[in-house]
Amino acid sequence: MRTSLFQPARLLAAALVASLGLTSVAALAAPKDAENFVRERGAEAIAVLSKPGLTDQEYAREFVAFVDRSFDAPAMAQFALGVYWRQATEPQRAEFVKLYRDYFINTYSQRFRQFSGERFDVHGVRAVNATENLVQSRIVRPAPAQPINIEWHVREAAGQQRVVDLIIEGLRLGITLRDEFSAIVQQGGLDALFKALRDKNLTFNRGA
Amino acid sequence: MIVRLFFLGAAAFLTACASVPTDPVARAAYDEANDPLEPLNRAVFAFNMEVDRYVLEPVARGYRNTVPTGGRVAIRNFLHNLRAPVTFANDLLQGEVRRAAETSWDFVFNSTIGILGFFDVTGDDWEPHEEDLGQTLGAWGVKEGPYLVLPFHGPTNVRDTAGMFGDRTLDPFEHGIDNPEDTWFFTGRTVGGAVEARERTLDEFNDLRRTSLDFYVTARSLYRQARDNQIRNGAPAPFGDFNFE
Repeated sequence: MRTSLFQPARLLAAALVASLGLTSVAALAAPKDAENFVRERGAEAIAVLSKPGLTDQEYAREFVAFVDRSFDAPAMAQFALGVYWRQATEPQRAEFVKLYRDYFINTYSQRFRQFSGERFDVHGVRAVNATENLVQSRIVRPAPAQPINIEWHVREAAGQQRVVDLIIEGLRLGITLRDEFSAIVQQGGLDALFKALRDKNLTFNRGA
Repeated sequence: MIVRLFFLGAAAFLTACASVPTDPVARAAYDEANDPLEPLNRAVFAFNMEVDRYVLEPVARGYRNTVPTGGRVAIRNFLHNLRAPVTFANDLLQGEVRRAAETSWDFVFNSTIGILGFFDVTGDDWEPHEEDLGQTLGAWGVKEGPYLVLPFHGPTNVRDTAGMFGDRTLDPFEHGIDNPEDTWFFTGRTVGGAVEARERTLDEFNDLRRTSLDFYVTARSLYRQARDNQIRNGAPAPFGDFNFE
């Protein structure tokens, strides 16, 4: 009886069942992983904010670290540049990713710091494909403000989950930026876009 | 005189058209933007921003600072309730029987027990929604047509502008408009709606204006996305759009 398992037919069947089981487990696990990832990062973010007596500088450092371990800035940058990514040289791409990351951090750093008294609920997920998921969340604000629905587009690469886009009330950040960047590149080329981003980043740093 | 005005208008319209690029990549971006009247639209947008800066935003801020939260919620409810007949008609035109029933249920109870709609007594068994003829046309598959920015009104497109005029004929609250004694009501409704909407988004709007590289393009992109989202009644966008490879 014991050796019967090693009969070729049984072995094959067992291997098939095991591999089917494994793939279906993997396929099922991914959305749950993405959902848990967003839930954990949400809690982490709120923990950063609620640290007492955080100076502006400490807050900025914590926020940058948080963005770098939660968001895939190169992927977001590439998406936002759209067709012009293909035309850009390697050094231009590297420069753009850096400018994009700074712009993203600057934009959301202040917006996020105003966050207080809200509750962050993660309430669902839908799979886009084997590695990408959209995680549904809601920011519940004190009345009379209405809740804000945010979807997190999360992609898994090399076992790491990272946010590649946010969809706020059906409005996609990636699309909005791509439209905006495209209009500027059309007018004055990549250099004009880089200059616009650089200038904008400077106004943020001056606290404007 | 009228003929001359017409030619002046036509000339202004033609010079307002952006020149169509010949390079294929530039041409694709031009088509994607859907904004052949961009120079004219930008001028109107700049005008609207001035109106906002000197009139609408200060008034909205004053409204927030003087009217307590409960009062603002009641005014929002009232304005929302006034839109119910138009929403109901468009629910039906879209074949959304369930949503039509929700709209009429809300309208009947909020208009009566809720005292002319100032109080939302029907609770939150479902999310309140609004519909307009632009959305109905979109749901029927009518294309948006070129993007437009209207003075005082803001971003729209040809389809939604046509819808806006159509909605007025559907709206029982607009039918007294020929009676001069009633005009205060319609003016109040329009102005009140603008102030209420601006107050609700004071922080978000100003934040967006501060952070965007080209606010005109941001507004254009967001308008189109928001309308697509409303036409789908908030249903998820097709997955084909989520291509990150």
